[in-house]
Amino acid sequence: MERRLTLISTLTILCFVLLSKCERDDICVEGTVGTPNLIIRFFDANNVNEPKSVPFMVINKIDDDYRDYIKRFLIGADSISIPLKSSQNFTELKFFYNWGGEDENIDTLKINHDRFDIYLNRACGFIGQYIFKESPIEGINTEGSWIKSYKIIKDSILNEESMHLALYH
Amino acid sequence: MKKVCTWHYIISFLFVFNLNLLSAQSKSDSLLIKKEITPLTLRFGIDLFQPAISQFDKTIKGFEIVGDLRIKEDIYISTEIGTLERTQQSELINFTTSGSYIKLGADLNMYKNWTGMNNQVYLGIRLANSLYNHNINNYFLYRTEQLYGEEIVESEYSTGKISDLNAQWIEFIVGMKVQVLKNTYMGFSLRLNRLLSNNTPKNFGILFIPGFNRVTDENIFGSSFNYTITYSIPFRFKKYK
Repeated sequence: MERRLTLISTLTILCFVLLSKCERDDICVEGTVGTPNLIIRFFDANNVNEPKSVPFMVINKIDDDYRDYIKRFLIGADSISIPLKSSQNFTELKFFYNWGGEDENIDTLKINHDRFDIYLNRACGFIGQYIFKESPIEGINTEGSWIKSYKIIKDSILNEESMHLALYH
Repeated sequence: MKKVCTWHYIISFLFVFNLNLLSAQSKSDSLLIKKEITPLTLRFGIDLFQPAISQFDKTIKGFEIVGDLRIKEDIYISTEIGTLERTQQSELINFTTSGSYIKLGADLNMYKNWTGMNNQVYLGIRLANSLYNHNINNYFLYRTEQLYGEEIVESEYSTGKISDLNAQWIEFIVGMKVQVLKNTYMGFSLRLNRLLSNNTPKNFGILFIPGFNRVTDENIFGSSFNYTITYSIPFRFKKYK
């Protein structure tokens, strides 16, 4: 009798614990900071401290059609944030100056980066931390390009708190 | 006359047998019953669940040997030794865990058998150790903004092997073993595992431990079960109580 009681109570406890084992860590908590985007700000090439907006800017992938875009800014922008590629160590993007306008101009920038991936937890997996390579930006100041020069403000992209790259035009 | 004798014989035999049973159940003075000799019995066998599931699920490859030694009327020393290789997709990470484990402990039989039977309904406890590796096959970066579609990372970065992992845990078991043929038993056990210690890989978590199974982030409990077939070899020498 005693044994039966012990057995039944143990079984009950076991079942209870097994059932109540909660699995909340399967969902990445909303608000968890993900892989940071690259933050670019545009400045006046003649007055490097003065932010200068780019009229109707469209950003495109390299193999996209003219009408495709991953980001566009109808009224122009002097500050943008874009994700960097995670499957390769460079990101190539087309930057349209005044898309569809008479002075439309396309610059193709190649951003070279390394990356370290940091493990967060089961639900969120890894986030990337980018670092600019030695020659970080290619495709600037070629003939007729609208972006004249660049400056790396922060060489590692760890968060989205402030700008990483300044482009002068 | 002869017939009556036979009946008398049968009935009296049944009566004695019944009396035996009753006294065994009521735990009365053992003067009446001659205690059954307890042979030291060695049993060994395999887990049937792992090989069965690997027929259907190609991501699981496992094998487990089980064994126990009866040392007292209702106490057994038990062990499980196994290997497991399993590939699984976590939320964003695809990884393979491979390793082996050993569990050692004791079972206490809670079931009062009839004379000559050897069934078990038991409570058990085990200490377990596992040595294993993780291999991160591929993963997606966690992003709040996806512009390039799902970009899978398949090589370099954090993919690759993470070796020399180990974990220790304790298991609480409820199970049963039923004799199905002479010396052959089928068994089933449910296990509640509690992680005691483990080492954590540098840039990864412990998501799965062979033998322990799934590990959740904020919980040190796990669960497992096995379904066994075992064969018993009675030792030649016998132990008298």
